[in-house]
Amino acid sequence: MALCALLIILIGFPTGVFAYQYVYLPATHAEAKVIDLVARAPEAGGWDPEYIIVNKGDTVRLRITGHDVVHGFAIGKLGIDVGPIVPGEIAMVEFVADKVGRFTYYCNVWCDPYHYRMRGTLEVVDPAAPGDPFVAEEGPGSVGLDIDSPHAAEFYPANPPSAVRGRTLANQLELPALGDGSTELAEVLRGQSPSAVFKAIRQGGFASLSNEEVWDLVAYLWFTSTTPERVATGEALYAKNCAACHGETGGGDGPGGRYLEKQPTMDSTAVVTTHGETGHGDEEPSRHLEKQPTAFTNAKTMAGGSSEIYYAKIRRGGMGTGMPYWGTIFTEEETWSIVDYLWTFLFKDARME
Amino acid sequence: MRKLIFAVLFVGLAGVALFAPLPLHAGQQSEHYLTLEARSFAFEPAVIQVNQGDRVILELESVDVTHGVYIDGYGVEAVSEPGHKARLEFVADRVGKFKYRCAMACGTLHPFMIGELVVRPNIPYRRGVALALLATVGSVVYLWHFAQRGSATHVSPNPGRRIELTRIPLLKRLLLWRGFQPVLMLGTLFGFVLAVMTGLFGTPVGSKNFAIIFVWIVWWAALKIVLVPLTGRLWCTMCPIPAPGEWLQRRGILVKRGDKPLSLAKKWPRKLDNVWLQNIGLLAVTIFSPIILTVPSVTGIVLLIFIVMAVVLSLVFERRVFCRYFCPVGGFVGLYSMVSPVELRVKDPEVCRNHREKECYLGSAEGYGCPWMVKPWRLQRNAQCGLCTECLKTCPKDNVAVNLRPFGSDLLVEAGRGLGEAYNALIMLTCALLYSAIFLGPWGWLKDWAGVASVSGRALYAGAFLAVNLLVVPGLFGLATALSKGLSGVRSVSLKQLFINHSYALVPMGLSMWIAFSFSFLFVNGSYALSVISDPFGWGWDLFGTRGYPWTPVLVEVVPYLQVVTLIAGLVFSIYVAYRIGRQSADESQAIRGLIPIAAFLAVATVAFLRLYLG
Repeated sequence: MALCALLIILIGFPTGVFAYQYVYLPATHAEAKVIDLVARAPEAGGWDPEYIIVNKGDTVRLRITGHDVVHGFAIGKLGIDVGPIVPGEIAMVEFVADKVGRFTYYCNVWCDPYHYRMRGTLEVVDPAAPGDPFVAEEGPGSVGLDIDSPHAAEFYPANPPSAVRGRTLANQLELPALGDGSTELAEVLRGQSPSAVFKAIRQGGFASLSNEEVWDLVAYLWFTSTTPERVATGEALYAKNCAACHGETGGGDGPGGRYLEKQPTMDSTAVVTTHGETGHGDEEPSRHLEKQPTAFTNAKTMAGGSSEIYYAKIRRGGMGTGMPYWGTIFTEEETWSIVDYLWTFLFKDARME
Repeated sequence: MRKLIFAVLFVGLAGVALFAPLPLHAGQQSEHYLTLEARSFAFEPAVIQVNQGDRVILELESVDVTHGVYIDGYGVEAVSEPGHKARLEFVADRVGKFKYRCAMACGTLHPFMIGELVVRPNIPYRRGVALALLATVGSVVYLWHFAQRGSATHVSPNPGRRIELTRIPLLKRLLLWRGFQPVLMLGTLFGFVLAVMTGLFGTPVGSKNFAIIFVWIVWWAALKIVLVPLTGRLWCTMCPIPAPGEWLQRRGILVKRGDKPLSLAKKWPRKLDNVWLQNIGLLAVTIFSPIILTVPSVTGIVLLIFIVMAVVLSLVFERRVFCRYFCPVGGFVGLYSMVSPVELRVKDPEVCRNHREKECYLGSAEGYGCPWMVKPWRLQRNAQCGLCTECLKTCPKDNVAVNLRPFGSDLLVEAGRGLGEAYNALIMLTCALLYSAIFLGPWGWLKDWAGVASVSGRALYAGAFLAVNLLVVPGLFGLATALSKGLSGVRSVSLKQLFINHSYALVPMGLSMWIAFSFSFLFVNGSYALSVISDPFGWGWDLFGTRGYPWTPVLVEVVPYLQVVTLIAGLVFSIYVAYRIGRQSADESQAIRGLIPIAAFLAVATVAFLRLYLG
């Protein structure tokens, strides 16, 4: 009898546990495609599995668990964001794969120096329509746009211009009313930098206006081409995906940025730093590409770029920096809303209140 | 009458130390606006000092991965993702030291990511130190004042003061039942198998894994706080590790068989008949404890290694060589079991002297000869008796009893003392202090060092750890012993023997330190047990509906007071034992003079511990 008890403990019990977990439980959820997804920091392996294939129409149930630190889980372009994945806890998400295509799932909580590499692919195939049904991935931004050169502004505001003051001014000047989110104006402005628009207004008369007043007008123009809702969407996406490097207040001072290495370069315009900070003061000063995350609060660089440039930079990434590519994650509309939000670091009163 | 006056005086002074109104902070109440930077596995600043009544605003900024902060005693909590600061605001109205700890699992050393908030004036610490010093001086003065006059005395302590528990018929029947030990072992073996399985196949997140929580929190705290101090080696009665090997060796579990044992039954070499192998094993485990205690798979592997070793050793050697000479836990459990008020002894040595058959050692139809290689008729100390109850079953004269007796009786038994045990006592005392500093202290660099992965870094850490254990603390204790010898003027005992003798006075102190250490993690992390019991593998099971029970520190504000009481009890007990040990080779005035350096050593160790936890 004691031997029986011993055999049950040593052999029966483990067999039962594994049979329950790996045979019985999977048999109980036949109606859904259950996928166990393990999150580890990229340096420890990233997502496991990294590639998931399901059929169109499947009900997909993901059981996501983290093995080291807090991660996040979101699927780009499907609007799925599970929130923080606390280590050892199991987060569940269920959805119907009704759209054919490749979707990028990714970690959206900073977790590692290589956090941005923590991405995987969900492929939804249509068994009824074999072959390659996928639309080609989007190319690098708008073709012909130079997004890699520096774009220092010719003109930039000394103090943050105010869209509200700009609106008051516009009313006083009896400028033609500009509709909210006016698409035509938006199309035009997207290709222009604030610096260029400022210059155009300066050259187009209004000699009585001070430079500050012209900047207020520019701010007003900028925010009339968007809506408070879009700025709010952009703000939420920025907080979730961008703040860890670019900083909560756009100062380029997020903790993620400290992992970016500076790359040596022969470019004579590059920032000069010495190795003094490493404690070896005798080393030669050398030139480095400034790879720290962009500070959107820096008016001089911010006012020199157009919305189209920022849009393309977000979608393609790179630029010789640690900026990841977001084209496979954000929808076009989401990307534009982030760009709209970025302008709030240059201009005040985006909500016109 | 004089004793009464002394007692009143001492209690009065203790009352003053405890309740005397100390000047509270009288200055301006100010506001502290601090950024608390969190990185794996330390906070910056690691120590925050404020005055009572100050308003504290903390902005928590995680810089590598998501961290949180929870402040003991204040119960406030916040979590920060990198790039998203979190704000905490509170008024520091309670004085004392409060640990703040990471509140979001962030990696292996997460449970040890700790900083310290000191709210001044730190009255609990001052009162604790005052009480410790008062207890030291009071104990020495008491012993000096009421010492029994006379020359050195070797009489073993109060042999008569025993209550025989085996007189209780029900208990006696239970202990005589052959199934008693196997049934306990089968129960713990179930838990052991579960721990190995969860360790190897469960989630690698320690706080969600049965192996980590039930081995290193539940079992360890039960062992240190309850089992060892109150029942000595009772754990060894039920420990599952030797079970499979022993049952193989005996070719049976419940029934006593007469077969030849399934074992080469070699004798253990006399040269190794000591605790040094256990000391080495203990040091090896403690050096790697930052990994063993936190990584479930490593815990699983270590448990497997133990049980495989136990099986192999029982197939090669006779009896329980693993328990007696290898088990690192068995080493210190044996040492500390000498404090416990439970013992197994022969009732009347005369009966044994006239009894030649010695079934208790050789075995009989009723049971096996002592598996622990102890000759029960010579048993004077708990240290090597595994409480397996075989001799109760085999003794034809019904001459074996389980007794209740005064705490710590065995510490005064001179026979059987040795340098190995002395070092075991010193290692355990040192480890209690080092663990408290490394794991529960605010020093991030120490944790980085303890958790370092590089070979050279680990070697350096191991070297430093060993040096403190084997050289620094024993050196200081040797110094105290040398001073003791000099002050007492006793020449008949060598310094080495005095070092060995007095090391037994460290046993109550060391045990109280381990109890105090265990309080600090049991109350903070004990709640994990509730969620883990429902989901031992972290696979998402919910057996008892408690899987989602959140991490809930319980009564953490009481822990420092429990620690002070425990430590001072250990201190007074140790001083008393030190005096009685000294008295074994000196007259009363020599013993008192010799006691002073030992008492000072004990007081310093206590204050060091108070400093780590309260200061």
